[in-house]
Amino acid sequence: MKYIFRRLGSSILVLLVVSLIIFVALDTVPGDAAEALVGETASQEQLQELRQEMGLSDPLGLRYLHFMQRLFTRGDLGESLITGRPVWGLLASRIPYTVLLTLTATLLATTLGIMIGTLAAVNKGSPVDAAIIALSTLGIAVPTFWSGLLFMLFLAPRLNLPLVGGGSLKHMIMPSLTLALPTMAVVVRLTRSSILNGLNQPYVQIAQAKGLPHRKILFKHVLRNGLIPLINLLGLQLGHLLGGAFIVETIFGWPGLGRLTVQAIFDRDYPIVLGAALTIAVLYLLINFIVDVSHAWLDPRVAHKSL
Amino acid sequence: MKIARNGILLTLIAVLVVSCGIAGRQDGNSRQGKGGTLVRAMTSEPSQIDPQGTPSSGLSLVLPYLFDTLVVRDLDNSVQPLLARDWEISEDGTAVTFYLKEGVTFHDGTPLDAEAVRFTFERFKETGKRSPIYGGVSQIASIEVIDDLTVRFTFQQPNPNFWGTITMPYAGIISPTSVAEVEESGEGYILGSGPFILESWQSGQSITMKRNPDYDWGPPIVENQGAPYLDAFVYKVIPDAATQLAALKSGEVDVMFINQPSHRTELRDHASIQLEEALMNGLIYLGFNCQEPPFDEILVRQALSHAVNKDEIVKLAVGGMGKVAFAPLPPTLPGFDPSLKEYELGYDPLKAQSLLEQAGFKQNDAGKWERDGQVLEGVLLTSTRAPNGEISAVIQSHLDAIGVEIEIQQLESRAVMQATGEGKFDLLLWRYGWTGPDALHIFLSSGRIGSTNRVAYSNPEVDALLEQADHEPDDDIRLGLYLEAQKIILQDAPWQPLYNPISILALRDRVEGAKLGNMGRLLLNDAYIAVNGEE
Repeated sequence: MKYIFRRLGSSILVLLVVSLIIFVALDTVPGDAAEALVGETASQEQLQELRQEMGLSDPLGLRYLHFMQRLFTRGDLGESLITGRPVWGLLASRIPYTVLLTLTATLLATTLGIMIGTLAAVNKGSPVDAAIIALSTLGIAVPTFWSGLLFMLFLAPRLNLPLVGGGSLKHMIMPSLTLALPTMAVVVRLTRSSILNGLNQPYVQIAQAKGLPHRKILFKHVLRNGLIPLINLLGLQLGHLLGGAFIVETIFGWPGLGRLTVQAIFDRDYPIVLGAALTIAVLYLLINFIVDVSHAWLDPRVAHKSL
Repeated sequence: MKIARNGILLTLIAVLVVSCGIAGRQDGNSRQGKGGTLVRAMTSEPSQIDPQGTPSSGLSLVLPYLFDTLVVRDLDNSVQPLLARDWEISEDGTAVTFYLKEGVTFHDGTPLDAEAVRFTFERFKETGKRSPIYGGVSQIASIEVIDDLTVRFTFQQPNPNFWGTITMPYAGIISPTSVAEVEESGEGYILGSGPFILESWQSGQSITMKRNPDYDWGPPIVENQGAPYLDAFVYKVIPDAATQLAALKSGEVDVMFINQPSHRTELRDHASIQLEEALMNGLIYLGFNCQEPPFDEILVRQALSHAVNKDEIVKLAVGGMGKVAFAPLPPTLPGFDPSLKEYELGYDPLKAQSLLEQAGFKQNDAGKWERDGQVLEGVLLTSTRAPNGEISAVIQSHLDAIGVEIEIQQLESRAVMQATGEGKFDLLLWRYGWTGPDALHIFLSSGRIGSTNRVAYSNPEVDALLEQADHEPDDDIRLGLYLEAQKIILQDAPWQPLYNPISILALRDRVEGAKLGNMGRLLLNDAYIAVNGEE
């Protein structure tokens, strides 16, 4: 319990730092929401008037304090500078899409990754193994914006899948596959190496000496022990996946948080960017928290050490 | 544990397989004859649907289908009736009276009358500050309702550019009832009287409109002035241009605009996709910072202008998606005059060099131009928008050929706008798009330095000519004034006009009757989906 509270305290600190960084970063970027709004034909007076109206003419520190005050006293992220709609509502309508996409990609990456990784380990040194290693290297190296386009051009027409949009399961296959690819490749490699490593452990030799069937040794002993580093890895990879979702959402027109944020950055709509960044930070912290707790649960030594 | 995990996996696979099977095809509704659903790609969705609200590229795409304007412009920029069947301009040019068509109704069923027109523009003056046509609308001194179908606009002084303002989609007439409802409940949409009715808007995904069955007040620029043939018209939000292209090829999207030369090449030989071209009311130009030495000298600006080979730019960098320009106004706008060709600072590298000598520069051993120990060089600022990078590279090679080295700086467009506002550049590759000759006033008059006059050009004579022209009721005199101003501008060379953009519309074969209107607007009144098309 104490462990949980301590983690919570440090998380809030992280969130404060994140918000401050985003605030300063957005202020340093040239252009502001007023310019984004009135575009290329506005006169200087029109711009100044709008800036006043939007509260953009206040100094940075003051704007930050206002934002924080609102967040803490009312639990409110403010309104979009461009549309005037409440930021929280905008975020809430998009978060489920991003979470769904990320989770599906994680599920795909782990299930397929473990299967393929095991296949490679079992056939160590064979052409199958060599091919899997080569493909997984490619999977890690190829950026999603490219693999996404390749899938779109070659895979989607053959499977008769829609390219863009969101909502149905069918719409989700292409983006989640694209997003899962790099993580899947990492999982493949990790599974393969930890199984190979496990097979050399004394407990496996004992099990073999006891005459346990090979399958049982592999799945019950080796793979289960190999899962511990995998869970650690997933914690880190989920962060990656959330970031990757920004790109994949843009490519496939998936209506998630990433799309909203990218547009908001172009519009210099800082309440949205800030809200989205904080949401993602919270998600990330939450994932790490779950990973740590489940790690402690899987391996009781961890909990003891950290207490 | 193991069994459970396998179970989940199996279920997942089963669900995936089944859902792929079920959702094979669901289109192909279409009744007999003309109809169908047309899907068009949209890069970014509007933030709201109020013609007078926050402008965006998405908004201007949606508006023409949902809202009608009083009048519209045809391809030749002539003004044609839409909601107004006729109009009258007073002798002195300070008043315009519109006679509205009878029987026009908004999507909520309320009548579109003179009062609604008055309401629309009164509201605009109050809430439309963010709109690009706010400047134009705020020139309206008063709006009088003469009778149910007659409304008169008056101005302080003659305002010929008013037509540019009221033909923009932002000037769509809105239903006062719908505005009251939206304001009261905070929900719903502001409604118009357009050929399509907003059916649903799924944020981040699509905007769906259905045909307005009561529509019978279409403009003469289309054949079908009645209700559109299409059952529905859908905008799909697809931010990525490459994805749009893939979606068009797969048939998921019927219509999209192409803005990359490579995409045009890719589609040119596609069996079931047609390309249509339209010259836009716009200009891409090479600008000089008129307040930054040595570009504040006319001779230097003229010299560098002569070094630029526009034909090569259009051929190499623009992939034919542009027409070489010589005047500050595009040929599609009133005020353009072919005689301006004589005043063009055409491609002539030798002349460029002799002008530099005239300005006191000497070529040093390295072949660079020097004066008082200062080497002539500069930074060419432009945005990351395609094909600005390619154009800049071609310009760089042209200037290099006469011995002037430039460094290309590509920034995101807001950053460029900020930098030009602060005068932090030497050369600028930029563009404008506008609906009338008052473009000259907006982009080149000294009153707009620091904002839209990005090159900080100032010539009192030009200012006076433009001011006079913007309020001259007599067309001939007015066009003469614009011509005079453009001659001086070409001589002063704040801009070297490069080309007028050509917009390319790509549509699938099964789309019939869609046509391009003014400013690249896609007119769908005559459009339908061929029933036994592809698939």
